[in-house]
Amino acid sequence: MKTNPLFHDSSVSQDSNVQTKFELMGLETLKGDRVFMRLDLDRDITYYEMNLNDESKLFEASVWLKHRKEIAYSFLVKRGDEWVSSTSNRKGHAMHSIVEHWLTLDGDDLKEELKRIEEHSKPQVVELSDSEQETSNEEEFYDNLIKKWDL
Amino acid sequence: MSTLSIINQKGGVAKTTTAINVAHVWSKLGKRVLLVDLDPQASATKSIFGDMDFEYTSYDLVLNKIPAKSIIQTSEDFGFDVVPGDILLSGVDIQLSAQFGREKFLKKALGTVKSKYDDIVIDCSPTLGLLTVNALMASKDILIPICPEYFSLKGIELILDTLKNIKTGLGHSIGVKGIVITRYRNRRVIKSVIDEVEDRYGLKVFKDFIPDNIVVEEAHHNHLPVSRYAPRSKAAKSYESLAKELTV
Repeated sequence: MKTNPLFHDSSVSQDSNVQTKFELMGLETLKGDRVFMRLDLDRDITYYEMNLNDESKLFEASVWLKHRKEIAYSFLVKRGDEWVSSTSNRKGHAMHSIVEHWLTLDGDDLKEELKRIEEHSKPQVVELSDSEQETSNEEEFYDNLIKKWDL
Repeated sequence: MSTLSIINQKGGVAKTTTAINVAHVWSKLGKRVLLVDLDPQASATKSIFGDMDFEYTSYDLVLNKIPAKSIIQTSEDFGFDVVPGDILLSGVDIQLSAQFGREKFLKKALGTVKSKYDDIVIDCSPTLGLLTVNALMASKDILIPICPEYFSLKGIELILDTLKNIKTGLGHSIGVKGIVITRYRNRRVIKSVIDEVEDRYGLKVFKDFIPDNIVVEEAHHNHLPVSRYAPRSKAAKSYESLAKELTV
């Protein structure tokens, strides 16, 4: 992704951290909706809840990131326990601020994205190997005994 | 204290005329005004002082070589202080490019004198480079003069993109005071320009259009503000109204 070097902050080195302010404009929500920013940093995914700035009417979230590091992000709306809409995944560099317009995915694209997000937001299940499974069963057996006899 | 940059990458849109005449009206209103000529063509300086030479100029200011107070000149006719422009500004981008904090040199330099003024007006270079980035980093707001006959939406988009890039890359937010229509002749052309600008970008277009009037050129030639050279002219009245509206 190309960026104009004229707008690179020369007083911040690439190894330094910069507080990147994400601003999302053009999103209208219903009462109780929560808005999140999904940040992908080398496949390490974190969800940040965004707050509505009453003055500017923008949703905002600030994150400390390595200056000019490549990042991917999207914006999502959660209603109750369910994700209901999402933007596409966008790419950029960590800078002082990132300003985006809300543009929701629709149709199959939205369904696919929400399914992917839903799977990711569930607690991770680690598959155990047979030997680990045995050990785990053994541990569970002794745990139960300890509880049973109040040891 | 507020700093306003008059900016348009397109030449011939009466950027300098707007800068010096707005600054003059403000000074008549009792404000303490400093005009910084950041255009290598130094049109504002020539318009105010004619062919006078200055030992120190905005070139020395931008490079932080000489303190601002030693560079500033006063124009009795215009009623405000001036940092004169210089052709050497055309090479300043190269000199700044490798410097730490290269985008904030002008802001730093003006910081030493800002308490002396109510308003600083910067007449920007008609190019997008480090010089213009320095002007914008030192500014709170911008004013965009456009000439309707040569108007293009691409030009406005370029300016708005520049502001967005400064906010994202350099962390400085700049307000757009609005668009002033200069050198107008045809009211029908203006109507379509206003509709396009307001509909597409939601920017304010000032109601006071500056006419393409010979007295503006004559005022430049006589090194006087329009409202002193031809106080009853339409151009003088338009600049008075514009300057007053800008203060609101």
